[in-house]
Amino acid sequence: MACLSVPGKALYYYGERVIMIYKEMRVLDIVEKYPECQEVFHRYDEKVGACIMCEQLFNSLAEMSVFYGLEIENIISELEKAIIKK
Amino acid sequence: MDKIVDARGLSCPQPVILTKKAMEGENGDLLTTIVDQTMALENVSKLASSQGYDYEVEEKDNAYYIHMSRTDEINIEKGHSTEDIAVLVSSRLFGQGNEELGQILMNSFLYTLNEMEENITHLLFMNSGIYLTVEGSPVIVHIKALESKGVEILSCGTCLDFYGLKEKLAVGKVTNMYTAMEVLCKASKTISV
Repeated sequence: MACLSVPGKALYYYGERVIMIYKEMRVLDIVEKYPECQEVFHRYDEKVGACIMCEQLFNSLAEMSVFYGLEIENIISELEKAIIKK
Repeated sequence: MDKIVDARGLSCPQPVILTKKAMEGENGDLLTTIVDQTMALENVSKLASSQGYDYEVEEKDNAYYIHMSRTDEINIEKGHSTEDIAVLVSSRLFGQGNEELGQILMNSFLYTLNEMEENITHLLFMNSGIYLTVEGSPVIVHIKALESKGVEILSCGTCLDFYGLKEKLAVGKVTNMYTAMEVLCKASKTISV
């Protein structure tokens, strides 16, 4: 479809950037809607030394990032990349 | 007969996702999820509480059986109430304390309002709360989404004047204290943040 394009890591529809992941979304809602995102959280498990999908499942991405001191924009970018890759 | 979700051997978030799907499916009012890890037990229990289920945990054969039931009474309490709710936002931050956390919580609050099925009729913005309805607001997308669902968005005119932002209003209408008080008094419930 000509209207759908993927320049770089983001998805565009008729030239408008499509936001798939909001920082207010709960970890549970993200992995339920996009199971391919589990792999990204597993990668972060190693960085933070904890199981994010166990301990932060009911918290938002923003709350989780503050809790572990992670850069939320990087996480969102990696999550969206995983969704597009699929 | 209970629906059974056997999540033994599965790690988080699978037991929670499978249980949530079972709750949303047919005959989801009575179900039992079986898990064998304490973290899964904790998370499925949290899910049960958040979805308005009563639950009991039975420990047998090295596993936890989480028996969950949703009663009609709980369904009524849980939502779909027809009462009108007006929300008063009198600060650009949610609560007092750390500024960054206040912004994150305000974002979460407005996002969650969008997700709820309650009958929210008005969002009133007062004092520094009006920073959320003007150009450059980090939460404008949530407020516009609420407006598109029929929620009336009102910002205090005196406050917009005071902060020199009257020309920057990006969503909803300008209101005065008289109308604001009328809205708050007529609503069945008010939420103030």
